[in-house]
Amino acid sequence: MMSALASNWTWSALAMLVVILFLVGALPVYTVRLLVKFYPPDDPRRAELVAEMHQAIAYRDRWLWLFETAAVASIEGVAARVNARRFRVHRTTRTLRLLGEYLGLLEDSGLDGARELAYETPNVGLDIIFLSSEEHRRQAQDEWLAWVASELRSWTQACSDCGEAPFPLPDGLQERWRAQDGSR
Amino acid sequence: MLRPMERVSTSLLKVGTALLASPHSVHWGYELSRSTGVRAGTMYPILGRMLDSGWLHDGWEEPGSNGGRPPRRYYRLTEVGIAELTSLLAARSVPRSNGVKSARPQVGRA
Repeated sequence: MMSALASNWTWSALAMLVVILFLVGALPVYTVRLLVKFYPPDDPRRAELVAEMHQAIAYRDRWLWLFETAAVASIEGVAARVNARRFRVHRTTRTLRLLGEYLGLLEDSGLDGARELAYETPNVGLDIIFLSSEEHRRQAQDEWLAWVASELRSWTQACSDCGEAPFPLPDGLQERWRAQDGSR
Repeated sequence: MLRPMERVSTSLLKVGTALLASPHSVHWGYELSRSTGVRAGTMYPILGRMLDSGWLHDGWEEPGSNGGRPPRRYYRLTEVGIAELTSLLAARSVPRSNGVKSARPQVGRA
């Protein structure tokens, strides 16, 4: 009977140990990975919080830290999602305007001037400007200008909410488009 | 685009003091939270605001430098941040030295 009791105790203790290890070890990591879903996918806070949990937080502090992080993630994360949505709209408009400036600079001062604009405007529009620079390596100057102009035009048309172009287009560009339409 | 720091709280000043203790070193969110006593729920938004204001810049550990664990994000004060925080803390210390009790910082008020 004593041996049966000891055996029961052993199994109970073992089960308890597993539960404790799960509660302080694995479960907080799962929980933080779920919590960071509040943030937009490209938000660096996602990776930051997961890394903090893996490397920095002491086992005894994990749940307290998680509760605090849950509060901030639900507020900050949702706000970041709303801002990201707003920024996307803003970014589209700004990118179009930049491309318009870029085209104007290309006609006035060539590729060097346009690159100056690229270096002066970090983040927004750079991807498109560099994309068009890449395209320039493969195409002759005239073809490339036509390519950028057609891209700009299609983006302007895609911006259906904006009505008119949301930026001053380079001189002569709209006339050129009209002429192209007339010749078709 | 940088956003000016709109609200200066006691927690922000605590974090600023901890950052200025070693202004050119890298700092980690959790370590800052431990050393200042500012809870995680307050710490991360403060770090975000400081980043937005250009007072801090951030970076990531080299991947794989921690035995396959995810790389951590670190923060380092910029020159702007050092200057702003120094003046902020100096402004904060003046009323105290005059014996004026102030629960909240007076920065930005008329």
